[in-house]
Amino acid sequence: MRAMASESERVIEISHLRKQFKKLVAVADLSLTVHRGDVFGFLGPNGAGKSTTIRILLDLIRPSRGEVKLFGLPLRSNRVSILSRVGALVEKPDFYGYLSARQNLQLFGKMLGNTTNKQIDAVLETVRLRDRADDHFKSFSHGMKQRLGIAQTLLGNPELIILDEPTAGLDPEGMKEVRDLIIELAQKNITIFLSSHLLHEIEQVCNRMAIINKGTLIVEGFVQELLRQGPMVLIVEVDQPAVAAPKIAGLNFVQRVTTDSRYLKVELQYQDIPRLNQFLLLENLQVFRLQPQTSLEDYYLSLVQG
Amino acid sequence: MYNLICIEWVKTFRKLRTYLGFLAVGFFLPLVFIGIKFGGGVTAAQQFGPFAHFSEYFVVMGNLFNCFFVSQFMMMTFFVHIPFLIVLVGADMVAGEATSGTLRMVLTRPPSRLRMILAKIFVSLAYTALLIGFMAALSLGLGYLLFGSGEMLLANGGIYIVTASEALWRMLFAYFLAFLAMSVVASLSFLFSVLVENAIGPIIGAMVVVIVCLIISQVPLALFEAIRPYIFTTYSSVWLKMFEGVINWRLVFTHSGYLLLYIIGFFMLAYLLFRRKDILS
Repeated sequence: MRAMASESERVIEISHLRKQFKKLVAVADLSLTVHRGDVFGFLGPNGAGKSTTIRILLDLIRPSRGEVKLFGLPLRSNRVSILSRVGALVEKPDFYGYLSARQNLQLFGKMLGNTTNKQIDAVLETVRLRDRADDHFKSFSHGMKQRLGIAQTLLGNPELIILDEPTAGLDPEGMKEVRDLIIELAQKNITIFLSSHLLHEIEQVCNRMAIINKGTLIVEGFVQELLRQGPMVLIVEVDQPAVAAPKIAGLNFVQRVTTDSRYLKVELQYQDIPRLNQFLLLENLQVFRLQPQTSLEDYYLSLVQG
Repeated sequence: MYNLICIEWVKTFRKLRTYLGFLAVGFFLPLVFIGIKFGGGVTAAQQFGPFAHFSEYFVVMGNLFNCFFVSQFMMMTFFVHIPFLIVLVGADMVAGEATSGTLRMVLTRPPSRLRMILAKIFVSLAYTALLIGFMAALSLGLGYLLFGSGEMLLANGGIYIVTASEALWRMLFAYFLAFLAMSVVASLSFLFSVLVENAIGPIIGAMVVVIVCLIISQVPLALFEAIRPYIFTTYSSVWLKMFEGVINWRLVFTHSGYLLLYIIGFFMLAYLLFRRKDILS
């Protein structure tokens, strides 16, 4: 369905992007597309070129080569109209410490035109900062700063939100809050471009993703489809693991079996799980758990580490 | 544009360092005036200023030691120090934001870099104008309260005495020219602010340039003669022309024109660098 997407549905189009700082090539040759309504995960190890790409998307950095289009328009010649439709949080949220949360948002809102106090209250409510709205930014905890950063991205009802490591440095509760917020925004049909180190975060939140390494795209696609392409480990919990292990290992569709004290780890293809289940039942083994353990982490590591 | 100027205004005038200049002038200027008034300064100034030996040859009627004289005296005293106060704010305009990371946040918003830089330039010039204006108001106002008004004695290229009303417009024009001279310092520090991404570098860089240029324009060495026409400090004392008996207007306008060219040049260069600057902070 996405392949049929029209030009107007493409929110971000990056073609053959390259950015070189003197001798350092931060982005080598990157091309990717983000469609309207996507929650797009942007993954890569440190120094892969994620932040550089995001900065290019926001015209903070000029590319050495290549083209960036947002909403179907070239960024360079349509910067003002494009950025008025985009909310962004690049790396950490740096606001004016001597101003309150509300004053900071008023200041950023003014850059978009006339953002009303009502709209500012609404975004503060969304990020659950309304009761601290008049406190100085410098008195905020890291989590509150991060939430204010997200509030700032919501000003002006953006169609695209770009978030660069939005949960960096947050405690588990704060991370969950931000994740929930992203899911909430996605439900409002806002396209989200999310850069993160946290693989489970991408797995939980995103529908599509791209993995880059050394400034080059390694893979791009739907998260669930990509996961199925990776090595699959199935956790098998049966009543007699010692008996089951050699039998499973003998199956031609099973690649490898390792034994743990309580369960077996079976490497096989995703579509072969029902066959294994059937086999275990025919062998009169009691099956307590069949849990696919294919994780983005495994997939990611298999790609990045080659 | 109006919104951007308001934003820059709020950002600049909510910072403590913006008021350091006003505090310095507001503290030291009255201190010097009080010192002159009550600490025997009048006698000293009369002996070493333009009044020196004056009373030996002339009978003075009225009050020559008045607000115009002390204001002129203060301008000469503060002229070397004011650039430090101007640089404090000008050098922070872009570099301060780059250091704190807010520049990155601000530039993800729609307004173009040109509009952003214009707003910053406007506010840095407004700050310069306010500081010079504050000095003028305090100097003339407090001078009037403490020393009263009267004619102004000009002892540059002969002895001239001008009426109080002429003295006033000459003083005001001198302050305007001082604003022009300080605007060059503001634009230079602004340029450094774009070039260097830390809080101290632009301040030191701009001050070093100002000091070196002052030395070149003041020290009478043949070596500096050839350079002198090309450095802004050669023209920055143009305000002194207002205290000559016969004002050489041609020179005033020519020097003012050069100062204006420096201001435009430094700001233009700052914009051209800022326009292509990769925001990596």
